[in-house]
Amino acid sequence: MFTSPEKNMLTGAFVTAGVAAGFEGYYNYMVGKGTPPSGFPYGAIHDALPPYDTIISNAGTPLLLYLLGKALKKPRLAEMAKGGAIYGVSELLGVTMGRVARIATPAPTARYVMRR
Amino acid sequence: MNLNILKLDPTTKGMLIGGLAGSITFHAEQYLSGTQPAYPAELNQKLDPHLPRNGELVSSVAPPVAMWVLARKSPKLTNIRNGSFFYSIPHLIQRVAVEAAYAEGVAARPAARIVAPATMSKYIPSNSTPRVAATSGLSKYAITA
Repeated sequence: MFTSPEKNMLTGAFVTAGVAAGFEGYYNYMVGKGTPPSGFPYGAIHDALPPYDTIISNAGTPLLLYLLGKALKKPRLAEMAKGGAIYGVSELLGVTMGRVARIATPAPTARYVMRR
Repeated sequence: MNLNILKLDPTTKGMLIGGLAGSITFHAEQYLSGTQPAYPAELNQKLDPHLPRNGELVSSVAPPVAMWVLARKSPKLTNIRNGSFFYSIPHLIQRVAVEAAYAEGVAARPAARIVAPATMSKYIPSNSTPRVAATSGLSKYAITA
């Protein structure tokens, strides 16, 4: 179904998703354990923007692959960077849109009902 | 590789559109799940604690499958289909890994810190060991939506 460059791009997308899974997996493991990690890289500049770990994994990984491809003169790494960039840009935009929409939506008010 | 988004070749543009379609579908489902009270309960459930919610599974699988079907009829959509695969499939695997990590974290939680729901009260912090004997029955206060 995929040509050789497209297979490299899919590999790049998997590498980017793997780095993101590492960051988020650790965070969720600690949340499940009852001791959520705080501070860098799990904070965000603004509530509407993605957290640092999302930016690092989705923008940093394709950039690293691209720079490695340039430095080592390996077009395969540049193709992987392209796939990672397609994954990363889509994820960053999706996360940003989701966070902006949540901020714009008023929270439902809770009502306290006294039972006898 | 050209990093200028305005000067991308049509193939890469198509792939980016496919990736964005997958991402928007996934995050729109998450937004609806978190904000809409009338959201179907079936989509908020999980088949297994190690898996994402059913809604997340559907919203991850639906875009590439739909694009795959459409691309069979119209070859012009092949790049969009590929982009949809490049986002949705790795992202689904990432979500499974993250949910599995959470389930493992819950399993590794020290037993003494878990407070049974019957003893939970708005006056006792949920992360502290209760100092009073557990009472039976529901709390005096109940929160409704």
